[in-house]
Amino acid sequence: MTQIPSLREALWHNNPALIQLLGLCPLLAVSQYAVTAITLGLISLVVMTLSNLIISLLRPLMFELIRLPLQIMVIASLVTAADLLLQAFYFELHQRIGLFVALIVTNCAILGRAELFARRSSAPKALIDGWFMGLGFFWVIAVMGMAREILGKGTIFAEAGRLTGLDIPNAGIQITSFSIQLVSFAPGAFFIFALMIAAKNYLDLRHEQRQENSVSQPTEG
Amino acid sequence: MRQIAALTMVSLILGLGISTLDQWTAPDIAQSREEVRREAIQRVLPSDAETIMVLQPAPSADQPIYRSSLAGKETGFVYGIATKEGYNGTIRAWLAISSEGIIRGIRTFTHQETPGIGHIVEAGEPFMSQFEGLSILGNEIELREDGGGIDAVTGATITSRAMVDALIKARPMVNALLEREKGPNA
Repeated sequence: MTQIPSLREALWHNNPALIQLLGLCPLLAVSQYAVTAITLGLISLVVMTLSNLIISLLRPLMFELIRLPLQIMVIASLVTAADLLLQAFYFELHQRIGLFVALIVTNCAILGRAELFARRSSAPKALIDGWFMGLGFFWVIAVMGMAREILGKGTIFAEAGRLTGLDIPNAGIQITSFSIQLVSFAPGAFFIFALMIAAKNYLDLRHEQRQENSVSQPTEG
Repeated sequence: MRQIAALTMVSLILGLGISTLDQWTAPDIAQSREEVRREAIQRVLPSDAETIMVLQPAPSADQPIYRSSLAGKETGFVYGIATKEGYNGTIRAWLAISSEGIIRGIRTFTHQETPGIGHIVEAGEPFMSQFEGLSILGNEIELREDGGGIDAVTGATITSRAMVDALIKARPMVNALLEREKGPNA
């Protein structure tokens, strides 16, 4: 259990969102636009990495009875800090996703890594684990956000400039005039997520079959 | 005993950290709120050189009314409207009206509506631009299904109705302002 998962495992084979199905509330709720999805993904990534690190450092204090309150307290403090910083530096962005920043506390992917990994591992290992698993969550929410924005609105990175205050050329350009309204609604999030899981399973299955073929060929020949 | 000490110590340290950060970021956050307010106020003004001042006497201290004027003549008002009828509690917005009671812009600054569904109350959303140009006292300010002229957004009927509610609740204040306006001129 204290073996660091490989990047491959975190991003694909044991992805927190696609396989463990954790943290779906923010994943489905803020993935309507690419910018908000990527922001929430980044905050989750940072919180996950730091919470793993801090919880690992607090190992001497992690007595059986108080370990859960301690872990939640660390995660909640980090999320509150992230919320304050986002509000201070990216106010417009906070207006859009503020409610869900606070809800990162309840992202089970984070508590899951704290409980399963960080509290039993050395600090560097826990840091890497949090970073990898955070990346696993990040790419899924980023892809969801981009897919839903393109399919549902026909744009990409809409309002990126206004929300981040940065100068981003070509942000929010209309890519297609064709859009499926359903994809921007809440049920659409479930459809897209299901499609992503299906695509992953399809790729895994094809990979498995290929391997079987390549293994069985030499015995035939 | 050791467990209590550990829990207390960690919560003290984390609490201290958060409160320091809160104090450190508070000015920035307050400034951003101020900018949002300024932006809403700018909307009522025909040009940037206009003066904005707090209407005296303010009806209530926590809800100042801003008055815009051109060459000493009143051109409109900006003030905060609110409703508790939102899907997730209170929605607060700055409402800018002309001195005839025509809505020039509404800019939501606090809401807890579901992102992706209730975000229709945010600035720039088509739902919000429906209100612009309508008289706040007219009967268009009502959802179409209730006989008005505002199209509710599918899936966000409660949020749509809440915005209408906020405007209807603002009518007594608008009436008072417009009456006050007529008084000295007549």
